[in-house]
Amino acid sequence: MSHAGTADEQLVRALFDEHGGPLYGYALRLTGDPGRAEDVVQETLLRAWRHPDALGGRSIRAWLFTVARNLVFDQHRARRARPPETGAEALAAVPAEDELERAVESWSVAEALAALRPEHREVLVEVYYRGRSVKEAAETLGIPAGTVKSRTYYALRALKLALEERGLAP
Amino acid sequence: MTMTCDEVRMSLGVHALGALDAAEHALVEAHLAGCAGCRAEAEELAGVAGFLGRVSEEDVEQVASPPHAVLDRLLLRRARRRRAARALLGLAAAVAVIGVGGTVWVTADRSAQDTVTAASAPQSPSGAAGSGEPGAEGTAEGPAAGEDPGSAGAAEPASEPAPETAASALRTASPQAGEDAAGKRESAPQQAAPVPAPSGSSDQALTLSDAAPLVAEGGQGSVRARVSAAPAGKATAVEVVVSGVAAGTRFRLDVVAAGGGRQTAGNWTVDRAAYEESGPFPGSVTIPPGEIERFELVTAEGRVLLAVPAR
Repeated sequence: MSHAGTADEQLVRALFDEHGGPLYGYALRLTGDPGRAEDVVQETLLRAWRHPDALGGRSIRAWLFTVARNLVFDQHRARRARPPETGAEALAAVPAEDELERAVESWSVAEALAALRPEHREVLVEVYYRGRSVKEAAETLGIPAGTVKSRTYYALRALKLALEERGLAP
Repeated sequence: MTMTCDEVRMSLGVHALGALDAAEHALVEAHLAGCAGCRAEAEELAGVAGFLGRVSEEDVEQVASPPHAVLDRLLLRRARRRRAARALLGLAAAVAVIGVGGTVWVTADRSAQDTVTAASAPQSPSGAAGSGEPGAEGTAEGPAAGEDPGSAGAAEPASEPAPETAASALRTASPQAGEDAAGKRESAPQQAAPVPAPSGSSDQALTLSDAAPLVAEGGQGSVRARVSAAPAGKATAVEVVVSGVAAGTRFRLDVVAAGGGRQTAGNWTVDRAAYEESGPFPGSVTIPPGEIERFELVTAEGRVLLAVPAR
């Protein structure tokens, strides 16, 4: 109803559109539970929304992943009957940065793949993730074997660009 | 059999994924051994292919289809927060419909159909109203205390009205200021039209003498309310006009007596768009106008949208 409200809404939409997918994937991998993953995404975005100042200066994606990871970690800790051990916490904190960086990167890769044209993504899924031969992929996708080859080639070239756009240089 | 560079290039994608059959693989390797250009291309593609192992097929699917329900919930929650924050301040704005000195209530007919006259049925305030401190309710929809220890108290987005500020402004409105303002209101009732209030602004409470209808207004953010109360036989007729509250919102008006008693004047549903005024909604209580300390606009869920001091 007000401009402020609209801008506010736009912020959360933008956050969701830009980071919702990777954030959800990350949360799902951490929790292993779609419902909990959704909750984590919601809470994470809510905090970003509430503290837009916190987003400045560094990678928003890294900030979001950090919040999500801490939420999951805190939940996990809260579920355990015994109080947190400082040793365990310290250990968990050390690899966190590195691990987070890797997670952010990995999800950027997933995002780059998701951003490919469907036929490009499809052929990579068949040939790489499902381990099909050119002939099998051709049958599954209903296209000639030669097309599987050329598509795979162009898919990888497109993926290279998509990775570069996300700061990942092969 | 040999392959041309063009043929080889088209095979390099599958080659990079390690999926060429043995015969073709051998041919491609033979070509690469003697062709630096194709070799460079093969290395580049192998580098790209190396990233594929970082994620699974499911990962890609999840990224491609984030749960939009989350976004919907967020937007809904945000909208509620905004309304709640605005509401808290609003009441002072709502009332001036009534003329001076016991003139006829403009009300009764129009909103009769959606009025549940809870006349004089004392209703204990649910949860949120407990403290009676408007400020305490400002964050009713907000984060649970302590949920965010690292940034507790960090600034809300600038667009969010600050309930505390608004509420304290309400509390500090002095009777004198109120009366002055009341005089102005009477002579210029048009001022009662909702004015988009900047964040944190508030309105003074207005007080008239006991003989005249008590008129009080309040606003917070865009939520505003104008309340009047006048003797009607042994009861007190109360009327409220609200704006800045989403159409369809169910709310009640509680009248809080100086001695702490509380009665609900009525329950209504906002029947106009938020930017318009809804009401006047008529109700009644048995608390005499002179003993009214404040009015509270409370949602069906028990959240205090707005508190308006009567004096």
